[in-house]
Parts: sequence; C-alpha cells; structure tokens
Amino acid sequence: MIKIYPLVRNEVLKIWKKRRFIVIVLILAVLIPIFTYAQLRVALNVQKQMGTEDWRIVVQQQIQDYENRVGSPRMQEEWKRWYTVEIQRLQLHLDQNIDPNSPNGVTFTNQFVANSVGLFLPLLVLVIAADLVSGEHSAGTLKLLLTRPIKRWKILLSKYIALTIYVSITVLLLAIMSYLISGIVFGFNGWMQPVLTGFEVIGSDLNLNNINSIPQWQFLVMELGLAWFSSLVVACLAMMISVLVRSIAAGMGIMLATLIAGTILTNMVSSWENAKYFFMVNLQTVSYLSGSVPPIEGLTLSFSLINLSVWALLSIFVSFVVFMKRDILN
Amino acid sequence: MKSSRLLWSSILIVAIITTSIFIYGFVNAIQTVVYPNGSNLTEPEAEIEEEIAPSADEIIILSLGDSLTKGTGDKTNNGYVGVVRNLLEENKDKPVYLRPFAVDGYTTEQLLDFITTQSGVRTAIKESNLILMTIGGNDMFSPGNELDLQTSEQLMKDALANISKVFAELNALNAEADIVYVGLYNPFSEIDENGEVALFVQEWNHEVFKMTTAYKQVMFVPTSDLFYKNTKSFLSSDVYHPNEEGYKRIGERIVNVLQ
Repeated sequence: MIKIYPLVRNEVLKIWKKRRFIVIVLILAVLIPIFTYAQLRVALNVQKQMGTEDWRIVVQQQIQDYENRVGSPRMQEEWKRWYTVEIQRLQLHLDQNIDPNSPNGVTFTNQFVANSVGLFLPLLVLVIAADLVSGEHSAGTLKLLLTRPIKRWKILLSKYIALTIYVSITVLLLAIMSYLISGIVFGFNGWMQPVLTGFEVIGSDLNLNNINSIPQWQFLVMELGLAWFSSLVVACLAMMISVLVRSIAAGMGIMLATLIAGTILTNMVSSWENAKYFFMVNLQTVSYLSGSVPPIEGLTLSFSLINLSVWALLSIFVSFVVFMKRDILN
Repeated sequence: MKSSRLLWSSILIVAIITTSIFIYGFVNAIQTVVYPNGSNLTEPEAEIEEEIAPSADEIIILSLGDSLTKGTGDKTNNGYVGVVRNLLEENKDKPVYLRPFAVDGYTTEQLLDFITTQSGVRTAIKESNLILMTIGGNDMFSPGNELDLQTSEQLMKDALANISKVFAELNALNAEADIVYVGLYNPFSEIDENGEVALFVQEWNHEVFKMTTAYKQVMFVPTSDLFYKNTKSFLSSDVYHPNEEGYKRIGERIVNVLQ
C-alpha cells in the first residue's frame, strides 16, 4: 500500500517543473502596474476636477451625483436599485467618518481581489489546472503512471491535493504582488484602518443592523478566504474538464467560454432568476462583504457558497468515476 | 535531489500556512455575513469642526440647490454653473475648481437639512470662494403638475423661512465667499395671460432679495427679465428648465455681477 504523500510530492514537483508558475508571476507583474496606474489616474482626475483630496467632499459629491441619477426618469430600474444601495453605503461611511477608498496598498489589494474573483483569478487558476490530466494524455505519461501498482483514485486524489496547494499559493501571490506593487505608489500602510462590513441588501435597501467596523487586515483575510474558495471551485471544474476532454486546447476553451459567459450573464440576467443556479454567477462571493447589489435578486452568500459547493462536489464525483473506469489503452 | 527536497518542503510549508489563513478567513467571512451578531458601531463622536478658510490662490466654486443649478435641460449638462466656471477660468489666472452638489428636485427643506447635517458639504462650503445656488422652485411648483397659485402662495411662507435659515447657515460657515442666489424666472409666460404668475414670481424674488440685504457677501442675481421675450427659445423641451442658450445668459450675467 503506497501512501498518498509521495504521490502528492511528485505531482507538486511536476507542476513546478512545468514552469506554469512563472507565467502567473509574469501575468501579475505586467497587469498589476497597469491597474495601479489606472487607479492613480482616477485619483488624480478627481483631484484636478474638485481641487481637493478631502475624501468627505469627494464622497459627498458622489452621493449627490448618484441622487441625481436615481431621480433621472431614463434610469433603468436595476441601476436605480444599485445607486440607491450605494448611496446608503456611502452615507454610512460619511456618518461613521470612515473613508471607503483611502489610497493605500491594502485598500488597493482589497479592491483588486474583489475585482479579480469573477474572472481574473479563475483564469490564473486555469493556467495550472487546465492540463493536469489531459496533459498526461498528450504527453503519453498517463499510461506509465497508471501501470504502476497504485490505485487510480490515489493518483487522482494526489492531483487534487497538489492543485489545492497551488490554488492557495496563487491567491497568496496575487495578494502579495498587488500589495507590493501598488504600495510603491499608494504607500504600504492601511492595515489597521477601519472598514465597514456586514451589509445585507434587501431589495433596494441596506440592512444596517449588523454592520461591523473591523480593521482592514481582517477584511482582507476574509476576502482572501472567499476568493480562495471560489478559485478552488473553478479548479475542481477545470480538473473535471481535464479528465473528460483529452485535448488541452479544447479543455481550456470550454473553461474559458464558461467563465466569460459568466461575466456576461452577471451583467444581464437580473430578470432571469433561474440563472442563479449557474456556478459562474456565484463566483463573486467577495461582493457580499462590502455590500454591493448581487447580480440577481435573492442571491446571498449562503446560497452562493452552497451552490458552488454542489458544483464542486459533483465535478469531483464525475472526475473520479470517469477516471477510474476509463480505458486508457487507446 | 537536494534542491527538489528543499523546494517541496518550502512549497508545502507555504501552502499549509496560507491555506489555514484562507480557511480562517473563509469561516470568519461566513460568520460575519451569514450569522451576524449585531453591530459594533458606536455613535460617532461629535466631530470637532475644523476651522478652514478659503484659499486666495484658487477659485473653488460650490454649487448648491436644485435642477436649475445642476443644469437639467442643458444637453452638455453643465448648466449656468459650467458657463460661470469657463468664463472665470478664461478671465482669471488662478486655477478654478467646481464642486457640484445640486440635486434635481431639491426643496428648501432638503437643502437646509443637507447643509446642516452633512459634514462633507460643510467642509466644502468652508473652503469655497464662490457659492452658486438656486432653490425654492420645487417648493412651490413642480414640473408637470397643474399650476395653482393659491397653494403656491401658502407654500411660499415655509420656503422663505427655510431660505432665511440657509443663508444664516452659509454665512456662519463661510463669511468670506461670494454667495450668489439666482432668482426665479417665469417659465409659464406664454400661458400667463394676465401676468399672475409673473407677479407671483416677482413677489418671491422680492422676498428673497430682502433677505440677501442682511449679508454683504450674498448677492441676488435676477433672471426673470432674461426670459421675458421669446421665452420658448430659451427653454428646453420640458418647457420649464432653460436650454443651453438660457443657461448661457444666466451664467454670463452672474460673471458680470461678480466682476
């Protein structure tokens, strides 16, 4: 009986030798400076227009602007709802004297993680996960692997564990690189700065009964926890596709199409309620922390997490069944 | 072999630590959002309002009030405030900044509440060099509703009382800035056959003007004469708010008054 530990070690080192990780680091190293620059431009532009850096004035002006938008007869209902919630959220920040977007590395990292969780982070996960099994088919190494006296489920399980390890490291890398790069521009402080969380969106109202003011590091850890979970679900699904589809390109294409369809759907499904059962519209788990309106009415954190878990478990089940029964001779 | 052992153990250690942190964060997030435990917010301490004086090296324009100041009806959405800003920018060599705070449909009561309770706008008021405002129209008329002068007359009293408080508050916050109250005009002149509405508008303007005389930095700028003739050509498609041309005339007049 061979233990699972050396198998995991083997898989982890195999992935490392494929140098996929360098690709991820490079993608982050190119894109984060671009986002940092964009953010800097936004800040500079506001300063140029309003002649101030006082966040209270800027936020106050934003509220007034949103009130005008809500009042506009041409505004779509769903956008009105979004603006109404946003007005309440900003107003609470003003009342509590807490800057919602104070410029520093931690705030940038927070916002970057929140914006990445729907598409960018899943794509990074795909770089590693997409060919874990199908790649062995193409390289012909799967036959070698399976001729060893090891149970097939152990091989697949070791791949899942290795994948989990890399998902954790990828999420960590995204956070660290975004903090370091944006910190050069915005400063490295902001860990203890208070942020508000615990919002609950009910219709176009915010339930303010459970709002908590917590230090930003804690918010970041919660956010990373949710982002990590979303990434893990994407990784599981990518693994299933990799087991089912032998061609790496086809597998990658399927996952890409699904994820991108998800971002398109989140922008247009607000009236189609059953779309909430797709995993793609549930990936943005982080948004529940900061109180933004979910893409479909009635989506909640618990629904999204249960939905994602069901998808992940199903995919794991399918992967194991197919992988154990598959005839690999041809 | 040695290097791969080192690599494996470092990957494993990093992964175990980060995964535990993420699981902690994940559980923490569920607790906060799904099983909330009341709020830990305290009544924010009453802020000590800072003393801020407007700077002489720049011109900060603050716009307050209703849709006329927001620029509703102007396709470029700048309204007379934009006209004033552009003209000042051409004439003066100081940087000119604009902080628009006007909201469609604002009444005197909403404006009074806004400037007495909101710390952001209070700071902005203290920093401004020029405050442009229109208010009062929505208290007495609303676009689309039947014009009823008797009700309007009754509403006028409360509106005037609020405006007087608005002026007092602005003066208390910033006694140096020029404050321009833009008077009402009569958008109904074409249906106003015996001049009733014109008289009413003039009565309003007169009452506000009387209040402005109490403060030397508050100026009343009349606009009703600008809309006497060819009224429709200066009004936008809602036949209530000015169009670009109408706003341009108001803006030019304000700049003339200021110079």
